[in-house]
Amino acid sequence: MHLRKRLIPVITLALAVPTIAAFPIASHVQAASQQARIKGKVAFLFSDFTTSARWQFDKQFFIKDLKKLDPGVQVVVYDAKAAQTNQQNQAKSALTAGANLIIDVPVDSAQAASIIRAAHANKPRVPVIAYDRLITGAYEDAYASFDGASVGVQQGNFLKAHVAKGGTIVSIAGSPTDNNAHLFYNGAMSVLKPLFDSHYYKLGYDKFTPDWNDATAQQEMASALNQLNNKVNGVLVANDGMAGGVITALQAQKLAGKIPVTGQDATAAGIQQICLGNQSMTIYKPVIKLAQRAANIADKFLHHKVFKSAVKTQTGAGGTPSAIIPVITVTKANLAATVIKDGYVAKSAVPQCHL
Amino acid sequence: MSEAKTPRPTVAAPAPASIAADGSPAAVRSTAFGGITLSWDKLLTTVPIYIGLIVIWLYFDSQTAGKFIGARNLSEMAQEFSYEAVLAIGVVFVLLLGEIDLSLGYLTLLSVALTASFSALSQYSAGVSILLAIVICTLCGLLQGMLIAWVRMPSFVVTLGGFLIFEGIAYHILAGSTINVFDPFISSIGTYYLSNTVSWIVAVIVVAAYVLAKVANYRARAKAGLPHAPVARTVAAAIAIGVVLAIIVATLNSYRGVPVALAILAAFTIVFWFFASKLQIGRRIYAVGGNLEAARRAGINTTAVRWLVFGISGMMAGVAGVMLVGYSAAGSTTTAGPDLLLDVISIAVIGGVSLTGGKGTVWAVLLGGLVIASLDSGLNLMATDPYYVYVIKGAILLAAIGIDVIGKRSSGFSWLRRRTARA
Amino acid sequence: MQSEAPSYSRATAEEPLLQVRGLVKNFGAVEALRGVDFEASVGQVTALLGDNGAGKSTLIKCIAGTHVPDGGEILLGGAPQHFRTPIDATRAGIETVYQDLALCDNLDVVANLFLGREEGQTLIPGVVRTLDEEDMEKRASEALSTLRINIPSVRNQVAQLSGGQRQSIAVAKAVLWSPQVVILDEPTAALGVAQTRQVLDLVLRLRERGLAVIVITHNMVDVFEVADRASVMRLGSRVASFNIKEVTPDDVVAAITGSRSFETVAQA
Repeated sequence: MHLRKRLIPVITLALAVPTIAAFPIASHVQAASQQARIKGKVAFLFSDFTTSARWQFDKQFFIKDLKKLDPGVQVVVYDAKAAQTNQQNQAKSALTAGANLIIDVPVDSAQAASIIRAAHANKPRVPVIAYDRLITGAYEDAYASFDGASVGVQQGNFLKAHVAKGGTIVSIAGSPTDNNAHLFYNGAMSVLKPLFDSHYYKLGYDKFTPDWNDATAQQEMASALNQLNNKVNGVLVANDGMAGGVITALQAQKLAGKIPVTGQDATAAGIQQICLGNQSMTIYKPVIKLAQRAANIADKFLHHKVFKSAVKTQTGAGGTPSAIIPVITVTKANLAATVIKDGYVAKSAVPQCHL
Repeated sequence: MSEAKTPRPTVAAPAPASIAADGSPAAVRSTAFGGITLSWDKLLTTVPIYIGLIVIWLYFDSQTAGKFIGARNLSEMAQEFSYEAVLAIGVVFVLLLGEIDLSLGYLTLLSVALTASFSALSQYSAGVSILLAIVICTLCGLLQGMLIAWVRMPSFVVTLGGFLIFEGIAYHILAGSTINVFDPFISSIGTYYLSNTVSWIVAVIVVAAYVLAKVANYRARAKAGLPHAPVARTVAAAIAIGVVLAIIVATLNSYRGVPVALAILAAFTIVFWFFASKLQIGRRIYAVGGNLEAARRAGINTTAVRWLVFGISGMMAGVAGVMLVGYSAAGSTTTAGPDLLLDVISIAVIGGVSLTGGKGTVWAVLLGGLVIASLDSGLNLMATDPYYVYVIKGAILLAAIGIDVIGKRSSGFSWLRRRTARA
Repeated sequence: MQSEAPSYSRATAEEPLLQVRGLVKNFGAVEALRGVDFEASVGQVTALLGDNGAGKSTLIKCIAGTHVPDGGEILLGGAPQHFRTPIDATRAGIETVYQDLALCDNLDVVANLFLGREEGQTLIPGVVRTLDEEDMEKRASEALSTLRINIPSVRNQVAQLSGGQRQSIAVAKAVLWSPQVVILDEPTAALGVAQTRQVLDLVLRLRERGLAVIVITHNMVDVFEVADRASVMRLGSRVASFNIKEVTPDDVVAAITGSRSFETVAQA
């Protein structure tokens, strides 16, 4: 999960950020190799490099895979620094510079529709791939993402499998202002709510956490344990960062490692906690596979072909052909074969795992 | 200065009418209250906060089946929010100057990032990691202070720049990931407790120090031929302090003891209260905040004073960041941020520190911190929808600033003063 | 008190303590002072008069060290002075009370009197020196009673005092450090009748204490009430100097407005 910072309540900042960030920071200009069959320029618009480490992987894998297919293609990477207006300006600059394809990780799903409209109105028409996050309100040419809806479902299923009947479950959800947080929560509840309703489990504490703040999550967990007299049998935590806070709160009550704790993102910190036995699982989104699919789709568009898929995602303007990559539940048992093998987390970053 | 000390009027002038008898209403603003002189303004600005605090406590306690005013929750509250109050100490000094430091949220995050990366990634010892983080944050504060005091750039602009710069550096260090900190000493800051015996000894020392300081004060005043406050009042105050401390220690000991974080907050509060009210430099900070021009004309190096205050602000951000890493045993981009800034400004203002400078004490952080911590903790305990938290906190901040602004206006609470004068 | 004012051989009655000779001050093309002479004597109140823009404030600011003059000289007890900052003038024994009083409203009377010159006492030798509140309070009370300034308590915040009391505190702050010359800038401008009376009494007490007092004012009643001498400025020059006992208010007003010229400056 790519946490998006809430906008800062300082008006001046709204003036300051665009002036600093709006200049296209074409950070990664790849030299076009001469022996290419086709040439072209791909603009990859990222939402925000600073708050999530994973975009670096997306960037590297995508460029590597696309170069394999089309060595002559140049990829220009932009960072919108979490402001949709920056991204809009960057898209315009990319079009002016003659981009043949736009790949967009929108900051704001609805506002990003204007990027699609600008690209389609361009002469020649430039196709747009929505990457990781859907763009609503306009018809993008393709959508490549993970199966976000199943993140929560897999977390819920994990708890269902590991918490005995009559158990009390605590839910520490993500930021109430982030649509993804609700998506994950609803996914988990699609599994767990029937069990709460039938009194198979009890939902002891249920809270969304502003900003995905891990220190706040820790405070919430401490409150939950207090409120429930430490009678907690499983904790549904939306991501690894907050799971770290939850684990510290559990440690204070000598409960860490004794009850299942979920997570998401397969961060190095999360993997460390899994190896220490404090966290039970995390959801791994195989970025390597997503980048590969996106590179394949990009290759099609660059050769002026159309991407077709039986999987369609409703964007509000029609069904978009989509490539949906399944996400993987990672536990101590399979982390070596997944996260580590893909190079998503380096062995050296998780000495606790003794790999 | 013999001349100033020894009166030597050469001509016997007719006794002048007392200037106090000039009938100015401004001169009669305080009221004797059981031998304690309280100014109306002070009374009217603090009492609503105490009443509010009691209401908050009773409400949360009723909503959480008595869990809120339980030893465990109060102990956790102290552990969770002490770092905010420590950070607010720096804010108090900045506000005393009538300045603002917008960078504090992200400077704290920078401290978090530094502490976590030094300890967990660079494998430095706990002491070195903590010291480096605090020193670097202090330097960051001094750097901002230099632009404000010497270059005379507005603090709003300088710290807004700092806001972005520290955010950028912190994000770069953390690279979007969480760094787990396993160092037991750093964790102890946020998760350990003083032993019961140590807590009692410290409490006794505090009361004894208060009594000794008062005795010394009485002696000095007697020696200078000055009147002193009634002994009964001082005895009552000492007993009150003793009872409050005893209640706090006994309550916290009935759970696990006094959290180390709370002890750190108490120590910093006492040290900085002493700094602000007993030392020359503290007096000068108040003077600069009260009337910059007067302080300058009196020969005070106002530039150095302003510079120093931003250094203090940076240092407290460094300390708060270390405490935060100790508390969460990790550092990530979501550990601290701009919301923290609003919380700590609220803490200072609720505690009676004026936004316009010169008014307030370091003790503010305890009262303000208690209010903010109670709100967060109570709403967490009730698992309230976080949307309400924003609204409630915003409303409380506005109320506290409103009380300050109205109290400052000369006509502020005059209707009430007049009414009581008549009664 | 650490900063003892340097003691000059007290000027005799013939020779004024403070002498200003041919003072020149230009602000760009504007000649604010065009060779001004001015003097103030021990145990005398000298009124400095003139219309707005006559150069009174510039002259005072040169004497107080706020402005550095472009020409001429300032002599104190016969010795030439070169003030670069207000602190220099203060050290030489010249204190100025400006119209805006320069008090910190948020501090009490004691703290204001000792602003910038707080007294300390050693708490931990070589490490911590704390404020010596008792000594400062004692000396503040003594100073105020010497000047017969009455306030409810020296621990009152200045914000709680009336205008007359504040003016008195500002004057007390100036004389606490035993200056030789005290300059008062429009001391009664914002005050009512009763409070003006208090402040004028205070000015007379300063004279009794043997200070050279300079009062800038627009108020002719004040001048004839307390002043011994009056200097009148017009357009950056001194146009007249009177012994108050020998003139009438009409003469003074005529000098200020320039309706009558005083070719020879009347010397007493």
